[in-house]
Formats: sequence, structure tokens, C-alpha cells
Amino acid sequence: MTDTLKALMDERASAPDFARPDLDVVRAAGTRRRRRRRAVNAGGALAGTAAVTALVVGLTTGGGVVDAGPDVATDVPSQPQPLGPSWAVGTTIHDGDREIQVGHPVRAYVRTSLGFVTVDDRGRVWSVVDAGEEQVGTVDDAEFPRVESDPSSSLVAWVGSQGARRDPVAVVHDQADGTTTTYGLTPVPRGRPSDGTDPTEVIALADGVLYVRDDTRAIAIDLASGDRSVVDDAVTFESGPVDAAAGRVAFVDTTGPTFSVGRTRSTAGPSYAVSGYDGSLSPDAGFVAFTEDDGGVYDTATGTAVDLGLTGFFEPVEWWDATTLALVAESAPGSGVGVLLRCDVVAASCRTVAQLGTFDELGDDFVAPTGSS
Amino acid sequence: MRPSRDGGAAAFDDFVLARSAALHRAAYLMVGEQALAQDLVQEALVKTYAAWPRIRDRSRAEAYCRKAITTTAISWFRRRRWTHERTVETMPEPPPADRADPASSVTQSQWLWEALQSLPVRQRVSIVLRYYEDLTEAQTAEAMGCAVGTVKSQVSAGIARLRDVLGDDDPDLLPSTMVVTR
Repeated sequence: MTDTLKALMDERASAPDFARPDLDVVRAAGTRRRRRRRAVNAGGALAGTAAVTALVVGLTTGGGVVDAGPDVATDVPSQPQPLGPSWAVGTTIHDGDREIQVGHPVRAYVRTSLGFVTVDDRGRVWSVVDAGEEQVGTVDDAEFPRVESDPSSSLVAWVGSQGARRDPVAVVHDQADGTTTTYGLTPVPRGRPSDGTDPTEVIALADGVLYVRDDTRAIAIDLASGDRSVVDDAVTFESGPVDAAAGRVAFVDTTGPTFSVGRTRSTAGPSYAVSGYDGSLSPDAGFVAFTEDDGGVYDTATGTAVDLGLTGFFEPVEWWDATTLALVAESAPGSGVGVLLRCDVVAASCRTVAQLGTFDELGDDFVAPTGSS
Repeated sequence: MRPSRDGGAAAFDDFVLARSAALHRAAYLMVGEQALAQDLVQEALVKTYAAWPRIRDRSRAEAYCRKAITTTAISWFRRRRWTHERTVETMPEPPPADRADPASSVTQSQWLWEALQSLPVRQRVSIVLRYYEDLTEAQTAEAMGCAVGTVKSQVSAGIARLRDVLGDDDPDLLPSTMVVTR
């Protein structure tokens, strides 16, 4: 009777009559959790804003730029600005002291050297610059949009689709001249994944190179030459590239979890233990910040965790330069009150730049400039 | 085939409808209470839905959810100190091993159930994953978020505790592959 233990467990487990989960409740709670994470990311700048100026960007109908008048749209800087606090809520993008009204809900957005690129709740991609607002494309997956930019350039990228079969294409838009270029991608075979979704997505856009992955491999596309190279030929659900900067790619294996950094998966450096699943490289790839669950910052050369002297909950938001990381922390463990910190990861020191309200007060509609939601 | 706008949510619904019963059964074995098992599965499904955009290979959704169930169960027990409340130094007294007697079999089953639920949560979870879910040691380690060696030691310790009470009267009661040196 070697299977007695299993037989007992089978018998016991099949006895109760379990109620079917309430899907509405599960989805609502899961959505709130996603949005809470987003709110925590983005809400840091909220209370730090003093005087703001409400502006309206030209609204678009039919894809063309519509000038909303001489008093509007001019506050989107036409020259690159240092990165600082920015977030969106509803149809408003907050950027420093400015409030920029756009004509659609902001589900996701990124910053560029010339302005912003947003995705609305219908998956439409909008370029928002000082001249106004223009629809420049549509993301393939409106439910989980993702766009990537290099804030030091005028380029932005996302995965769209083309043709009757809606094959995935990488789309790169240049806000400087308004051009849009598509790069054909190989569709995943039918039936994989089992629900028919195509997992192709952009990972990063950095230094003129676009990184794209599907469910089996990741490639780098040199936007100047069009040359392609494989950076990971064994992407899986559990492991693959999560970000790239300065010609280097951060790979995460969530089964550890561990991370490694290198030009390709096969040549990446040692794997280091990490807390988190979705990493963000600093602009020079010297550090990586993990933004999920328990946040953490690591030196990519040594794998050493940077002790920022924080206790309790904290979560990285974004890199403002090679050594400056913005993050949200709880004012005291368990307080539920957030503060925005500006941290120097080399000096391992942080200072509070804004006092926040409670995380509950930050609401569900905040969006950080991460390009996804 | 490209996804519809609600394709992700629909796929999640399909996943829940197809797999929730199995997930509930495993959760019940881990926590021993029906209501708590339902809370546990609900919490794990919420985590899974929140992570749904990252779960590109939907065939891995169950593994993700199982890991959420396992780690959440361990976290709950640790946080609430239920490990100390429920784990006993002395295992339940075993019944007479007259296995030809149906009534005795029922009693034996109840005793083994109580003994299983008296194990520390990590031992209990590792045994459920290995011998109910039929996971490999590597898969169990993945679900528990620990090393394979830890799984080996947890399973071994759990089986040893059960054998301590059972004695050698019924060597077939527990998995023969787990020969424990005492």
C-alpha cells in the first residue's frame, strides 16, 4: 500500500465542495493591485507639486495635429529637459510644475526629448509635443499596452500589427521629423501560447537600438543600419531580458530569482540573487533597480545590493540619471503614508523630496512614465 | 491568431474555470480548512491576475498560481504564528493497526490526516506537492521558492515525523521511496 498517503490525500481533497471563485471579485482585486503598484510608482510626485499651470494640448481628430490655440501646447518643452517627477492621471500629464491636458485617458506614457508619447484606453498611440497632439499608431495589445522610449532621444517604439493576419511589427516613431518605420517580426506559431495571444513586446529602446522579445527569443535591431542580432535565443516565461541600456541587457530568471547583465544571454556575466522580477537598468547599466514585490537596487558588476538605509516598504520608480533613482517609500513601516525619495545610489543616501498622502488616497488612475500599465 | 482586446481577461477566466477545483484541493491539503483554502486560492488568483500580463506562456499559469498558493500559505502560517499553534511536539496517538477492520481504517485515515496537518507548514506543503501533486523535487522547489536540497530535507523530515508515530507496523502506509534512517 505504498500509495496510502496519496490515496488519503486524494480522498480528503475530493471531499469538500468548493465554491467556484467569483471572477468579478478576483479580476477587480487583481486590477486594483496592478493599479496600486502603478499609483505607488507615480504618486510620489503628487504632493511635491506646488504651483502648477494648467495647459491644454491641441486635440486631434482623424489623426492630424489640431492646434488648440496660441495659449496651449506651448508649455511642452521643445528642448530636452532633465528628468524629474512626472505622472499622469486621467487625461492630465503632470510634469514638474506643468499640467498638460490631453484629449484622451492616459493608460501608459513615456517621455522623450521632445515631449511625451501616450497610449489611450483604446490602444491608440499619441505623440504629444509642443506643436500639439497627433495619433501616430496603435499598439497591438490595448489591454496591456507597452511603449518604450529613450528619454534622451526623440524616438519611441511599440509593437503593432499589419496585414490581414495582423502579424506583429515593431514600430518606431521619430517625433523630430514625424516619420514612422516598421520592422517585421516573426509571428509565433499558431497555438502557442495556448490562448492564441502573441507575446511579442518591446523591451527597451536605448542608444539607437531597439530590443524586442517574443516567447522564444529576443533580438536587437540597430535602427540606423537595420541590422539584427539575437540577444537571447532561449526566452521563456520564467526567464528573459527585462531591460537594456548602454549596449547591455539585463536578464532575469524568475525561478531564482536571479539577474545577469551582458550583451547577450550567452555572454552575460554571473547570475546574482535578486529580489524582484522586473528590473530597470540605469542609463549606463551600472545599476539595476527591481520594482516588484520587494524593491531593491543592485550593482550590476558585483551583484551587491545597495543599502539605501531604508526600512520598511519602498519601491523604485525610475532613473533620473546614471546614479540618481527616484523611489517611493513608506514614511514609517506600516504607516501607509508615502514619501518620494531622491536617492544617490553611489553615496547610498536618500532625501525626501515630497511628502505624500496615504497610498489609498493616491487613487487608482495614476500612471508612471514607464510605458506600461 | 491575434488577441482580442479582452483576450487576456477571457483567457484568465478560462484558466480559472478549468483549474480552480484542482487548485482548491491542493490548497485544502496544505491548510486543512475549507474556508481557509478558499481564501488562499482567491488570494493566489488575485496575484495571478495582477501578474497576467507577464505570464506570456499561458500554459505556465497554473505553475504560477500554484507557487502563489504555496508561498502565500507559508507566509500566512508564519505571519500568524500558526505553525506554533498547530504544530505539536507530540504527534497524535495512532490507532490500533487492525487494518482489516473498516472502522479501524477510518480511524487510521483520520489519524494520518491529523498527523499531516500537525506538521510544520513547510513539511506539509512539500509533502502535498510531492505526493499529491506528483511534482518532481525541482518543480516542488520552484513552487516553494527554495532549493531542491531544502525540499529533500523538508519531505524527509515530514515523512520521518509521520513514521515516528506509525512505527514499523505498517511500512506501506508512507511512500516507500522515503526510507528514513533513524
